[in-house]
Order: sequence, then structure tokens, then C-alpha cells
Amino acid sequence: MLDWFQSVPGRLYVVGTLLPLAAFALLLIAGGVRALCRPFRQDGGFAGSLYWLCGGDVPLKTGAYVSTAFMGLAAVIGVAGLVIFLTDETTNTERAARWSERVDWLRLGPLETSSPPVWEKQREERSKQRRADPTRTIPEPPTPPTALALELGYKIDHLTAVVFAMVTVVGTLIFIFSLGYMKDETKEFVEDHEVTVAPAEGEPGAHGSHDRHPSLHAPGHGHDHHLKRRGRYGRFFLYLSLFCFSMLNLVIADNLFQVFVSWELVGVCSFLLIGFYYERPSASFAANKAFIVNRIGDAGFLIGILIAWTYLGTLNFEELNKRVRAPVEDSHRQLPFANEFVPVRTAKEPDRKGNPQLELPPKDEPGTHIALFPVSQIGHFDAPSTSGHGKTRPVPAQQTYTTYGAMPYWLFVVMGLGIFLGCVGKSAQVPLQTWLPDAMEGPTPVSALIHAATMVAAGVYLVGRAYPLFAPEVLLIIAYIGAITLFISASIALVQTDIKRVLAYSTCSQLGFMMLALGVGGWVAGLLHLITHAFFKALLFLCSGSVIYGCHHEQDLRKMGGLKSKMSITAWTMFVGVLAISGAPLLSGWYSKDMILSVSLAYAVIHPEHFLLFLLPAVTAGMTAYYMFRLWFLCFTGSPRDAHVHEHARESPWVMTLPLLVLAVFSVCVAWGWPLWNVEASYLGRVLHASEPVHMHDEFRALRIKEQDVHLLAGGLALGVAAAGAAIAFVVFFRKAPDANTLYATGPAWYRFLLRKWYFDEAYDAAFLKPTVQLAHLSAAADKRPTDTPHTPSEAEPPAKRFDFLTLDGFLNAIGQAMDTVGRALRSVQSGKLRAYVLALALTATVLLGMLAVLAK
Amino acid sequence: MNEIGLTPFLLLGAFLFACGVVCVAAKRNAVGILMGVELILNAANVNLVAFARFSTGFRLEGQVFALMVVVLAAAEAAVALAIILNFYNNHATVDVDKADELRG
Repeated sequence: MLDWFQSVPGRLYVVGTLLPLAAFALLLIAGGVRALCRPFRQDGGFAGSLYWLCGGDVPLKTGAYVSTAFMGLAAVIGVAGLVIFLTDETTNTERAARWSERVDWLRLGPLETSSPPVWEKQREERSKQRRADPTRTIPEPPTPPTALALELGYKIDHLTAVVFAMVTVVGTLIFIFSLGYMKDETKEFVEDHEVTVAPAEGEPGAHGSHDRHPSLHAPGHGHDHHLKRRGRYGRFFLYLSLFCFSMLNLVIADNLFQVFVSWELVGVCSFLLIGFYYERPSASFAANKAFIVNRIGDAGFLIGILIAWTYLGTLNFEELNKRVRAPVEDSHRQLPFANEFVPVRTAKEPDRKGNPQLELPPKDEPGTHIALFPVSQIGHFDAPSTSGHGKTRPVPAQQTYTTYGAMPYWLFVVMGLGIFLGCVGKSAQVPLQTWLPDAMEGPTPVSALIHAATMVAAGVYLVGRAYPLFAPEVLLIIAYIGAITLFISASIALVQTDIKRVLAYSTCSQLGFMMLALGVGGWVAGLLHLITHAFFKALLFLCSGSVIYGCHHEQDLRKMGGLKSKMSITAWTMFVGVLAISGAPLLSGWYSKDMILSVSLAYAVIHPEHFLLFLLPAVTAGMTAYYMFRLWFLCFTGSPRDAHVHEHARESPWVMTLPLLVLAVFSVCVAWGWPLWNVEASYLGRVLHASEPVHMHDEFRALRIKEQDVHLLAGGLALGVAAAGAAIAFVVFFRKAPDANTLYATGPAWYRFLLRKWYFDEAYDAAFLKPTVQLAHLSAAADKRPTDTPHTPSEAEPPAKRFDFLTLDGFLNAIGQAMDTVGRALRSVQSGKLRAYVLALALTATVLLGMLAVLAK
Repeated sequence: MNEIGLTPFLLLGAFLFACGVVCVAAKRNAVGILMGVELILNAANVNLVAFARFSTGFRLEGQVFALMVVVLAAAEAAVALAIILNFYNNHATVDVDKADELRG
């Protein structure tokens, strides 16, 4: 058993991934058995005891403990795996074998991916001949047909290991927090104060002992009719486990298809969890919205995958990379264009057989296509040499039915944009950001899980993974989308009064920072921010959850204030989180944000026309500090604005504060390195740097050098702006300590503009929802029958109602009427006069015979 | 003895056939029409036996066919007479012009 792991330590990660799935399956089976055995609950027999074993009437806590334990085990594996991986001394090729595996799921084509010996022999002969006589042209050995295979596989590199550890650790802490936060759900009957149901008139069995649906049962007593339902403790952990499994599977996946499957699973889980209180209309609406908005992004993702599948013949990340970028070297020499996209164009003359050929465009001319390279180096691909442009040996444009020699450049861009659109949806970037704030309808631990560790991280992670597939144009779009998102979301967060919505928009904004960094070439910066952000955002969300729990589900900042004395642990851990997200020096957020700003400044210096890419994040850094300190001051300092809330507020139990403390420690020191004050020395940053795509070393060399120069400037600027933002918040919300009235949702136009979230929802309503609904109404009206007889549409009917009648129905009716007319015309033939029939018969016979006689001649 | 050829037989058959058709087409009496039908059938019979006599390939077949037609004619006459009788019972006439209840 131990050998099994020692030879391939990557299997640890498979076990770690499957643990949450196992928890999910256990809980699902237990729930199913409970539901099946429910009819026998009164009998003492086997089925009855099974019912009580699987929970009985009151939700059982065992399931929650089991799933938390499994998740904790996954976290142990994640951390152990990270340590083992980082201390793995093996060489690169060995490492690939030790830390990745693939199995076929579905395969179309030959089983053997390695080249047959015949080709190997030909290749050897060819190189021998070449050495003997370099001028001779030698025929190319055939390229093996590439199989189209859907695979399941995992590949662990530094990025995967780090993200896996982050997801499992944060996930475990959120699980533990949920044990306390969801305590209400352990009761047999939970009263949902936000749902009012119509009083059930004279319903028999008021307490529903024989009710088929106790969860939707509304007892008749009491004057307020809030919904009463069975607690859903187990179900919550069931969803949470599946969520974690999907995310872990997404992280270890080595191909786009597996990512897509997990991607959709994550989407489903977010739907289930956001709509956890599905009796509340707002929750079910938010769940639908999240799901539907994500589908838009996923449609783009699917398009990207299909383009890759069609032209590149594989979905494996590494192979995709090898297909689109020139190989570094073959057996003979260092090749030009190493690790770059090679633009080519269609040659004017086909080869002797008439197949189209490709050639390098002359210097300073863009190619129309991008050259694709064989994954395994069978045969010899003549990378076009730089000397003598246009004179190089052409590349066959088409090799086999799936392996193209080139793909159109615009399709390549569309592929990158499609994949990025998926990430836009998942990571809530403009224009698909509207679902994320609404997702706050779910329980707070879910918000923490979605916003910190899993769903939104998936988008950024995928951009990092698929980085080699993005053309420069796509990267620029990524950068701009990120910049726009971070600014818009931060500006909205400035004025929100719901504690969770402030954090939600802050998440959007921080994700924008990551996208921006990735877009301008700061791969390490973006992904480092992903990790650090996961920790401090989880901390902030759990703190807000603790506040909400302590204030008995009050989320409105206007009713809080002065809570510091009541819940000091929450207050101070949250303060750590606020400092970290604002970028206070030596806290984790500082390292990543500093890197992002310096890389974007370097980019803006090199490309002055894109100065917005630095201006927006620099301004937003100040806004971030402002709204986070505003949140903290409003929540914890000053005088209580609502005596009732303040009076009943209390610190949460240790099961909730312990995760806060752990996360606070992580938020401080997760990015530390030695020396502490040097951002570049961040250990986590160096680890991530090890798995940076190789092509970046050359492509972004100028950026790296510039980054060194402007680093201090960018860091100082960011710090200054953030300090200014925090200072303004301090003056406005601490010194003056505003009363509730000044925070009400009225104000000048710009204030309302921000409060209404830039009218994004309204714009989408007007642009997409309303026209769709109106179109539906129109269609429905067209389908309605006129009320009078079907043959004559009445003029009194509105035209819409007669439309369908005149077109589709009209067509069908016309056929029927034509048949009717023909029948009427023909009825005179059947006169019933026998002699007429005989005459007709005789005449017909005569005519036929006559024709026969004439024709026979 | 002078052998007469095929043609006179065929002419006789055609003549009988024409008589039959005219009879069927012109008569109003149902029994008369039945007689016309018999004429048509027998015109065919004349042709069949004539061919059997004059063409070597159909020596047996022609005669067997003729017998067949005779039997068929008998059966047909039985059915037709039954129909006519029923028609008469219902309408008190055998005028086929009156039998137009199924006209279009």
C-alpha cells in the first residue's frame, strides 16, 4: 500500500479528491435510506430501525461530523502532498511520471499514441541520410494519425499543489465554522422568518406526524404564519462536500474536458447552495440567476473546447501547449521560434500533389494562420528558419483528418476568448458579474466557500492553466476586463449597506485584480493574489458570518455599530482581514497586490497607450482600503445604532471563532518569505514561479526588467493610496460615527447610481429580459385562436391573433380546402348511370388500344 | 377440305364483343345487360379456342381457358341474377337507370 503511494505520490491527490465525494455519497445514501424507510417509522422492525439509524425525525449531526472529518483528512493530504511535492528531488521527466497519470475515458482512433517502430526506423534513416547529404530533399515520414480521446487524468505541478492545499484547508475551516453556524438546522422544525405562508385552513394533523411533506408543513397555531420545515443540517453538508469534490477535481484535472465537467458540477452545487433556503423567493431567484448567468459563460467555454478539439485534436493542457507553440529543439539543433506562436500564411502554389501548403509570411506582415506542431516528435518538423523569409520549406497544411498543420488565427483568438468567457462567468467579471452579489442569499459559509476557495477561484485558476493558449489580443482583453471589473465593483462596494454585499463586490474587485495581472503578464502575481485572497476573503466572510450569527441574522450595517466590545475575537480577526485586503505591509495581501501593481505599472510604462491598466487598479487600491475600513468602523466602532440588535449581540461559540483565528494567522503570513520586507522573496511566490509557463520567460522579459525598475514606485504609490483611503474612512466613519439616518439609501445622483450597482441589472432587464418576455407574449398571442369559425378570420380580431391563423394554420387549411374543391368537382363523374360507365370504359379501352397500336409501330 | 384461317374466327370474336358492349351500354333492363356480358365472355371464348387451334404453343391452354371462362360465366350469372332479384324485390323494377342511389 505504501509502495503504491511511494512510486506515484500523485495518487495522494486522487485520494484527497475522492474523500469529499465519499462523504457526499455516504450522506446521500443515508438520506435515501431514511426517505425509503419513512413509512415504517412506527414499526419496530428492521426498516423502522434503519429509519431511526439514518436520522429519524430530527436531523442527525453524524453526517456533518463525518463530512467534516473527511474534508479535514483531505486537507491533511493536501498539505502533506504539498510538502512531499516541494521536497521531491527528482528530475523533470521523472517528476512527470510520478505526479501525473491519465486513463482513457472514451477514445476514437488508434490505441497506440507512441509512434510505431516503422516510423522510428524511417526517422533514423532519414537523419542518417541528412547527415550524409544535407542538400538532398528526403520525403517526410508519415505523421501518425492522432487519436481523439476523452481522458481522465491528474497532473500535479506547483500551482496545482498550492491551490489544492489552499482549497482543502480553507474548505475544512469553513466546514468547521458551518458546524456552528448552521446549528439552527439541527432542529426538527425550523421556522424561516423570511417566508410567510398562507394559513392552511383546517388542515388535519397540525403537527404533521402523518404528513407526507413535513418540510412544507405550516402549523395552524400562532398569528404569524412563518414557514416551518424540517432542519437541513445533513443536506447542507451533503452539498458542501460535493462542492469541494468538484473544485478539487477541477484543480487536479490535466485536461479541458475534465475541467469542464467539474466546472458544471461546481455550477450545480452553487445553484443548490445559493438556493439552500429555496422557500424564500429571493433565494430561489438568486440561485436561478447564478445558474443562468454562468450558462452564458459556459457556452463560450464549450465553444472554446470544441475549437480546440477540432483543430488541435487533444484537450490535454500540456499537449495543447505543445501543439500551438514551436518546440524548443529537435534532435539536431536549437530551433528558432522556440515556445512561440508561429504565424504562417497559405502559400500561393500547392505542392506537386495539389495539397495546399503553408509558408512563413515576409517580415513585418502578419500571418493568417498559426502553425500547429505534432505533439510527439515523430518525423521531423522543419520549423521554418528565420533566414530568407518566404524561402523556407513549406509545411503541409493538412496531415490527417484531425491533425491540421495550421489553424486560422481568428479561430485561435475565438478559442481563447471562449475559454476566457467561461472564466468571466465563473469569476464574476464584467459583464457577467451580476450573479455574484445575489449569491449572498445563501448561508454565509456558502458565500465564504464560493467567494474564497472554490467557484470564483476556478475562473482565475483556469486562466492561469490555459495561459499558453491565449493569443496576445486575448490577454489584452483579459487585462481590460479585469481592470474594468475591479473599478466598477469597488465603486459599488463604496456605498453598499449590507455587510455581505460589501464583501461580495470586494470579491469581484479582487478577482478583477487577478485577471488584470494575468492579462498584463503577471502570472505569478495574479495567482499569488488568488491564494492570499482566498485566505483573507474566507476570513472576512466567516467574520461577517459570525457577526450575522451574533446579531441574530441581522445583515444591515445601519443597524450595527459598537459591536467590538461584544464580540472581540470576531472584531480583531476581521481587522486583520481588513488590513490584509487593504494591502497593509507584511500582511499577505500586501505581497500580492504589490506585485500586481508593479507588473501593471511596468506594462503601462512599456505600452503608454494602456495607461488605464495601471490607473484603475491604483485608484481602486485606495477605494478598497476605504470600503473595507468603512465596513469595519460601521460594524464594530461608534455607538450602537440599533439598541435591540446591540443588546442581544454575543460572541459566537469557539467552533466558529477557532476557524477565524486560524484564518487570521494564514492571512498574515501565508505569503511570507525571507527577508520579510522583500516582496520578491515571498516563498509562495517563488513556489508558484516554478510552474510558470515556460514561454513567459522570453515573452515577458522586457516586462520583468521594467518591473524591477518601477517596483518601488508602484509599491509606494499603492501604499499611499491605500493609506489615504483608510484615512478618509477613519475620518468619516470613526471620528464622526454617523447615525443611521445619514446612511439611508438616498443621496445625490452619483450615490444612487452606485447604490443601484451602475444599473447593470436594470440594463439587462431592459435589454434582454423584457424583450424576451414580450416576444413570448407576442408568440402566445399569435397562437391564440380567433373565437369565431375557423374559416373566416374576423376583422374585429387584433392582427396578432390572426397572424398564426393566416400563416401556419392558413397553409394547412388551404390544403384541406383544395382537397374539398377537387372532390366536389369530381363527384359528377360518379353519376350512378351504369350505361355511362360502360361507355366510358369502352371508350377508354379503345383509346388505350389505339395508343398502343400507334406506339407499337 | 379447305382450311379456313384464323382471321374469320377473330372477326367473329370481335363482332360478338362489339355486340356485347353495345348491348351492355344500350340496354336499361338488367337481365339484358347480363346477356350482353355473356356475349362479351363468349367472344373471348371464341378467340381462345381459335388461338388454341391455330397457334401451336397454346393447344391445350386455350381450351382449358375457354372451359374456365364458361364456368366463370355460370358463377357470374348466378351472382348477377341474385343481385338483380334483390334489386327487383326492393325497387319493383330491373331498370338500371333507377339504380343510382350511390351516385356522387
